[in-house]
Amino acid sequence: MSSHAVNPAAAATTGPPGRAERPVWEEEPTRISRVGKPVVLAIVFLIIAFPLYVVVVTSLSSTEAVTRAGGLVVVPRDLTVAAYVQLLSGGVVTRALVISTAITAVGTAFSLLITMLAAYGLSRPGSLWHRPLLFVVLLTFLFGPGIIPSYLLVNSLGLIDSYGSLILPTAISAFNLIVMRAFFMGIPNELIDSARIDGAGEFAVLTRIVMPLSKAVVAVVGLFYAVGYWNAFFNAMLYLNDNTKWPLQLVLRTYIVQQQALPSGAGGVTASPGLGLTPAPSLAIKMAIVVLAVVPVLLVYPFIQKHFTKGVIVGAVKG
Amino acid sequence: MTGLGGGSSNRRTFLSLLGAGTAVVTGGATLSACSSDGKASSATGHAETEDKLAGLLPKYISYEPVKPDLPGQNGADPGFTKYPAQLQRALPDKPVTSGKEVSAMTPLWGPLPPGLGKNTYFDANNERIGAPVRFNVVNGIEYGDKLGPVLAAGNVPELLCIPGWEISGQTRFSQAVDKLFEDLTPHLAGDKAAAYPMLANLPTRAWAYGVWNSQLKAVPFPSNGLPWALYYRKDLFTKFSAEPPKNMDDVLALGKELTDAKANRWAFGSISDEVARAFRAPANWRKDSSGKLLNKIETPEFEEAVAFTRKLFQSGYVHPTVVGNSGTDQKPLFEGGQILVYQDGPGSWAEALQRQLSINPSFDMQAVTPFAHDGGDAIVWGGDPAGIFTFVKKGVGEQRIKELLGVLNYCAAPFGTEEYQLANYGVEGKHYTKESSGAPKLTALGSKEVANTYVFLGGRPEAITQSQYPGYVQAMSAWQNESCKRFEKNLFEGIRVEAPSKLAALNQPFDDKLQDIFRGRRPVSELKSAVQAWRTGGGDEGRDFYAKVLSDNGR
Repeated sequence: MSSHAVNPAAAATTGPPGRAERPVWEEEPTRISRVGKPVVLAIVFLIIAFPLYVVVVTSLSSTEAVTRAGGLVVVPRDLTVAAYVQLLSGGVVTRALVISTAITAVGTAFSLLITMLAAYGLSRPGSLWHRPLLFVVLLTFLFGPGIIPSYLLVNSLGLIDSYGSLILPTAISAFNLIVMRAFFMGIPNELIDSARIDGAGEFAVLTRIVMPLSKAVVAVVGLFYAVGYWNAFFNAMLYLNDNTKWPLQLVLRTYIVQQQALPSGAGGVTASPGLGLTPAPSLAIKMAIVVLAVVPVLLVYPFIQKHFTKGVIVGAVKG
Repeated sequence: MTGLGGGSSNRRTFLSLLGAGTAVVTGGATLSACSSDGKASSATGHAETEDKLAGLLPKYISYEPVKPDLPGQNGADPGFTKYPAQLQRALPDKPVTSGKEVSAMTPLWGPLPPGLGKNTYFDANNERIGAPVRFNVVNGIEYGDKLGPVLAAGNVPELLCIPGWEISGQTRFSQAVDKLFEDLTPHLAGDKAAAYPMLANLPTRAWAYGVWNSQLKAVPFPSNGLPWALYYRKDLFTKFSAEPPKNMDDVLALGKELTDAKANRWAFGSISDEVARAFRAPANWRKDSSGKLLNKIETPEFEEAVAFTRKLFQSGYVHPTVVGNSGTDQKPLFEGGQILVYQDGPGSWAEALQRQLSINPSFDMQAVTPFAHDGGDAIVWGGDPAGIFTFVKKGVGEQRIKELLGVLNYCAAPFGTEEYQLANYGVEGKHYTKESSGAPKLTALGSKEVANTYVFLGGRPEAITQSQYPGYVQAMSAWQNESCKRFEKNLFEGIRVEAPSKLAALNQPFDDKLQDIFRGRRPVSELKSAVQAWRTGGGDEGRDFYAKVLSDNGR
């Protein structure tokens, strides 16, 4: 950006501008780079897009096509939506989709709220015990609570079998808290002081000064939380006894587990009732699950992307 | 490879498909809430002996609603070459007279069915039972992760299914059993079992494995103990004029003959357990000439088996996807004809036929008759006679225990009964229809609603029943009979041994090294150091534990 301002000055002291004085990026592209750039970009694009393509094609393939390919299908043949029909029929998956969406929305909003409050408190130099509290937060990076202590706590709080058990135990991520705190600390104190002179209290400073300046970090942290809630299945498995409350990822996981061989000693019981309709191909189901699990994130990402870009620029300017 | 203790190691090969997310917390499974006064536990290992338990066990009363066409010898399952035209009603009365809802937790390897109130399959079974059974089903792969906290908090349902392979991962399991679950001895010992005829029909050897701390604590899930089969594609063998192997020279010759990378065809998938068995390595422990216990991995036979398996890999006879990833799902490769020989669980045979016969009528897979590396007498590794257990919650009251045992009695009804059919397939005409062979075929509704739930609440005598696949029952019966008569002599026969958790934890690191050696990522000489690491890491302690179990039992 600044090269245009600098170059004329340099030109004034060193004579008329010639090809040699131009920055490299202002040179005419060579023939190699003209050809090479698109090739490199195409290769990078293929590296990213090809696995996605294979996933989608396999999810739409018939049993015969998967068998013929011996696994992942590259050339689409006998396309069918059987895997998606099997996943989405019966109402279990659609119900779980609603639950997951609600958990993700409520959980993300709640997590963002308390993360912002905590980060703001910990970012202000005069806050009570902010250093010991920060130390405790950092400790959680090193020492996790463990499954059984967490379960005992959730059990003693009466949260077993409630949706609260999917949000409260993971409501704050120490990593996100530290990221947001660091961002808040970068906001000039002069802005906050001037707000105080105008009579703003802490809440007004947070909502009217800090938050409007922090949209980028809120978007980034919000996405981290949302993806976390969307993908989470383990806590639901642990804390929910009522299977009708399961979120999407846990329900989808049952289709993957279906393809696993039972350990020996299972007394002849097979994964599926065994004599049913010819099942959709296992790999097609798995790939359909990947599509269902990934698509919502892919759909949401473009709307948040601009904040990511902005976040990077803001961070760069602030150094 | 199966676990070093002889059981199947529970490999978790797919953590990442859906992403573990950020909510996962990690930590070892401990039983923090249990009392510490017990004398035995899974942390230090545990053993119960069948012959000392005679007074506790139910008296065996045979119940045979249909006579098998192919009897099973030496522990092999009976075979039924046709579906019975008429099903027998095994239980005239409803077991739960109070109508009170029953809570139960079981593993599930399949799609989640609609819940109570929205599932007519549940309704039909519950109508027979006399009360709704509310299942909390948990993915089979994560079942152990949930068991630990549930046992620690004492937050158990009235009926809790616990697979045997999850027990070694639970610290102080015997104490949890003592504290949380009802002693069933007063209800089932000896002639008292006659009140529950389906439970009395379970083999006595399986019941012996339901004893903890000298009390009958669990209803067992009988198993024939055959851990896997070596399968080959008979249709493709015929095409290439090949014969199934009878020794290791045949195996190498098959590798050369059948492998053709240009034709996208390789002779083998993973067959490392089968190679170790063929070299007569023990499944578990054996005594050397001085009477000292030797683990499988310490034997010269195992060393030879590892060298041979490595040779198969190095020769290019193993499918490259399997070479690249030991956790590869080999079923599609085998069924697609890219692998011609591989090992898999006995249940996978009928499942493959179900998948393939409708799209490839010439598909023919068969199990190889167990052979020894030198063509001599072969041994077959045997597993425990019971692999899964169902416990009844402590303190529910005498009358309720009888009702709950009645539910388990219902679930234990064998092949040929209305109850078996209802629990496995639902209602005829609604959840399934009958094919011309008499085999049940799930309807669209059945595919949505039927799930292995009641089936996991109680075991039943195993049987080979899938006669809709031409020749399958006869072939499976013949293979089982051939295999069972070759069962290796087991030092711990009749003793339920829970491996110390420290020993069980050594399986995976050792197996990882082994897989590297097979694939040439480590020199074969590293086997010795891997065995040494196993010994110092807890193997020697495990040896002492197993030796004490033997000496305690006068063996």
